[in-house]
Amino acid sequence: MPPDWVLTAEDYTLWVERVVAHSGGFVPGGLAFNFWPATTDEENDSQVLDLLPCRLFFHDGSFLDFSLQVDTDLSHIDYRFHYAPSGGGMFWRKDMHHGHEDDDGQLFHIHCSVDERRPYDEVDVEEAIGEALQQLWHHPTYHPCNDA
Amino acid sequence: MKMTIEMQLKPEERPRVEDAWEHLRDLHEVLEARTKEVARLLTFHVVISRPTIEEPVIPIAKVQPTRIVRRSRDELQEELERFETAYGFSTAELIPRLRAGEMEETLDVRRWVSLRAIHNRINP
Repeated sequence: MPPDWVLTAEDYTLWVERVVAHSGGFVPGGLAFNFWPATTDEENDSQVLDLLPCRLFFHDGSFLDFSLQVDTDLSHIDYRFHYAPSGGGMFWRKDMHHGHEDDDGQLFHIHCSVDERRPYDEVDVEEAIGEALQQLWHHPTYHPCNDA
Repeated sequence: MKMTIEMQLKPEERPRVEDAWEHLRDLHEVLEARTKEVARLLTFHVVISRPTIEEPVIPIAKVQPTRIVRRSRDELQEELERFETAYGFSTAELIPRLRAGEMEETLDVRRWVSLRAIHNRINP
């Protein structure tokens, strides 16, 4: 969950900036957000937040591809956190999206490998980046699927 | 506004990439003390050099400011129509096709799934 000071979508963008900055990684081109209208009501100017896909590089060359969308109450609409080794491929991917809910009973899941998907707890950007750092520091002994 | 920060590595420090990243992390700690508005306006050039005159100064990173764009409903509709033109079917079919294993869950496809989710949020 975002910290208490994150009250608006604008705050949320700053939180993501800070989490990325504190990771020690680097996003070429910087972060980019879109604000989309939240309703069809012309009088209502509330907006949902859309973090465009970005790649966060760590010093060992591994990277986290991620994007997310949050609703007006700052709850997730959709997200994708894909952590990969420097040569590409996949360590794991944490997703929230429709498509697997009939099998999983929920929208949140983790892809432990290309062929293996499991239901997984919802994660936020700070937790996902923290998980990538855990794996970076403790690879190959650590993998989130070992706990899933 | 552009701020250039030059750092000298200590003689005992090896000029490794990891060291540079550590310095960047320290820099962000400093930034946190600043107001968020100022932080957003600044573009940082971080230069880390070793105390040897033979070595050139190595620019290692430029932290880009965050871009924020406010989009309209029409723009979202245009995005989704772009998908339909490219793929020959509507984004409404994306999830069923992913579920049926007819499409690979690539980064590009996931972007359309996200946009569809936003569209569904606006037009349930």
